[in-house]
Amino acid sequence: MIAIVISQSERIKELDSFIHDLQSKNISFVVICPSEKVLSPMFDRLNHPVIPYLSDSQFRKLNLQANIDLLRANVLLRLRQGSTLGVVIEKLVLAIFRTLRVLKSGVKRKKAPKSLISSSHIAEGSQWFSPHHSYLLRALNDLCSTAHIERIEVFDLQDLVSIQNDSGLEEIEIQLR
Amino acid sequence: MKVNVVSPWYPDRSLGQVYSGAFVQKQVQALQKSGVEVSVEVPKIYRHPYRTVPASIDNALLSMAKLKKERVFREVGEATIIPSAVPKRSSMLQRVKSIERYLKLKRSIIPVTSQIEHAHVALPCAAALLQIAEAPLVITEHSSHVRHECQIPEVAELYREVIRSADIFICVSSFLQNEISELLDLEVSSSWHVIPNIVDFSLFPFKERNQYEYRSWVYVGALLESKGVTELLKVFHHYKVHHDFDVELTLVGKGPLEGWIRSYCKRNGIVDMVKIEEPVPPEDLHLIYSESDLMVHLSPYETFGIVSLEAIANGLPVVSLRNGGSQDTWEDVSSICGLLLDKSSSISEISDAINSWRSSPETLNLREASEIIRSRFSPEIVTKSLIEIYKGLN
Repeated sequence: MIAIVISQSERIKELDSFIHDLQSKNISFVVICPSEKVLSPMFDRLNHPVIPYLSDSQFRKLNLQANIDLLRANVLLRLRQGSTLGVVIEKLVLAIFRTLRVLKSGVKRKKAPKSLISSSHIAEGSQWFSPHHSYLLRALNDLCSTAHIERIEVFDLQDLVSIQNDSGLEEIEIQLR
Repeated sequence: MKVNVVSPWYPDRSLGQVYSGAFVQKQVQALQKSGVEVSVEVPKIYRHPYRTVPASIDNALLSMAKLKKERVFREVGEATIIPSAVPKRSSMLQRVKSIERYLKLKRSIIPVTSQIEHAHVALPCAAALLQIAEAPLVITEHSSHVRHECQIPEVAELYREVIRSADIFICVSSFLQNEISELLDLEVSSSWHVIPNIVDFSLFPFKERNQYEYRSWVYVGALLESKGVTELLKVFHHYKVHHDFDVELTLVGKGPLEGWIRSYCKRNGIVDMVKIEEPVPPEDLHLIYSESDLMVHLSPYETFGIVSLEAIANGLPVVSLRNGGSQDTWEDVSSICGLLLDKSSSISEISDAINSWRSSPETLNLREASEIIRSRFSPEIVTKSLIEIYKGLN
C-alpha cells in the first residue's frame, strides 16, 4: 500500500490525477491529511480511504493559513457559481490586488535596499518543523504498525522535513511528488 | 551539440498536466530528432505556507537526493523536476531567488554539462539562470504574463537585465517582441529573434469535410475568464437564440470557470447543448475536431495561439479575435480558413458576424490553408532556425 501525504489544498487537482493513475494500475493507497476539509473541493469525487490526523478544532488552531486558503477557495467557488456579477467582482478584486502590489512594491523600494526586497526569505539556522508535524508522524507510525506501507508519496515540502527526519519511518521509501 | 533546457512547465501526466508546456516538449523532441542532445530541468514551485522558507527544507531535499536522487528530482520523460520552495505571497524577485537556489542544489547532485542553456520564459527561469549558467544563454519568451509582471519597476528592471545579459532573446511572435520592446523601452537588437512554437502536425491530419454547417462548435483550452470563455458562452447563447437553434458547443478543458459555465447553461436553458469534456492528450484531440465543424476561440490576448493552428491544419474553420498571436500566425490566410474579428466586438456583433460569414462558404479553402500553416510551423522548419542560432553561439 502507498501512503499519500498532503496538507495544502492547492495541489488537490494534482492529487486527484495521481489517485486516478494509481487506480488504473490497481495500486492500493491511503490519503493522510490534516483534515478532510483540505480535500473538500474534490471530496465528493474522492471515494477513497482518508486518514485525517487533526480534529476540526486542532486544524482551525494550527492551520490558520490553511483556513485562510480554504476561505479564499470558498469565496472563489461562490463567485464562480454562475452569476456574471461574480465574475465582475472577481476581476475587480484581482485588479485591486494587482494595484496594491504595485503600490506596495513602490513603498518597499523606498524603504529597503534592493537585496532585501529580492531575498528569497530562506531562514538559516535551527531545525524547523511544521506545527502539525507530531500529529502527522503519529498517524503515519500508527498506519505503519497496522498495514504494510511500501512507499510514502509526499506532496508538500513542509511534511517532507518531518517524515524524512523520523527514525520510525526510515525503512520506508519516500518519494516527493 | 548539447543543450540544457530550463522550463517552468512540462507535461506531467501522472499529475494531470497534459497541456502544460506541451510546446516546450515538442521543441525538445524535435531537437532530439535532429541529433541535438537535450536535457530538461523543470523548476516546480512548492508554495510554503509561511513567510519564510526554512533551511531545513533544503537540508531534507539534499540528504534525500544524496541517498537516491530520483526521490527528490523526479524524471518525467526527458525532464527532471526540481522542487523549488517559495514563501507564501512571494514576489517575482523572491521566486527568481528560490529557483536559482534549487537549480544550484539540483546541479550539485546532477550536474549539467551542456554547451548552451536555453531558458523558456525570461521570468523566472532565465533570471534564475543568470548567476549560475556557465554556457551561453538563449531565452524564449512565450508568456502572456509579462505585461502584468513588468508593472512593478524592479521586475521590469530585472527583465531588462536578463535580456541584456542573454546571448539570444527569442519571442514566439513578432507581436510579443514588439510588446516587450515597448513595455521595457528597449530597442530590438540583433540578438532578438522571432521563432514560432512548433505545431506537431503529425497529430492533426487534414480531414476533408463535405460541408460546414457550423453547428458543432468546439473550444479547447483552460476554462478561464482570461481566455474569453465567458464571452464564448454568451456568444453561443446569442447565436442559438437569434440564428440557429440546433447549434452545440463542446468545451475541452478544465478550470475555475467550470461552475460558472454549468450555472450559466442551466439559467439559460442550454444545458443539453453545452458539453464540458476533460482535457484529452494532444494525440486524441483530432478525434474531437473530427466531430466538430467550427472552432470558436475568443481569447482577447494570445502570444501565439497554437490551438487555432492545430484546428486549421485539421481542416476545421476557426473564428477568433485579433488577439496578437492570431494576426502573426494566420491573419493572412483567414479569408480561406475562418473569421478574425476585432477585440472590441460585442457579443451580438460576434454572433451576427458568424451568422453572416457562414452563408458564404465558397470562400473557404481549408486544404490550402492547412498546407500554408504546415509550411510555417512544422517541427522541421522551426527546429532548423533554432539550430542555426545554436550553431552561431558555438
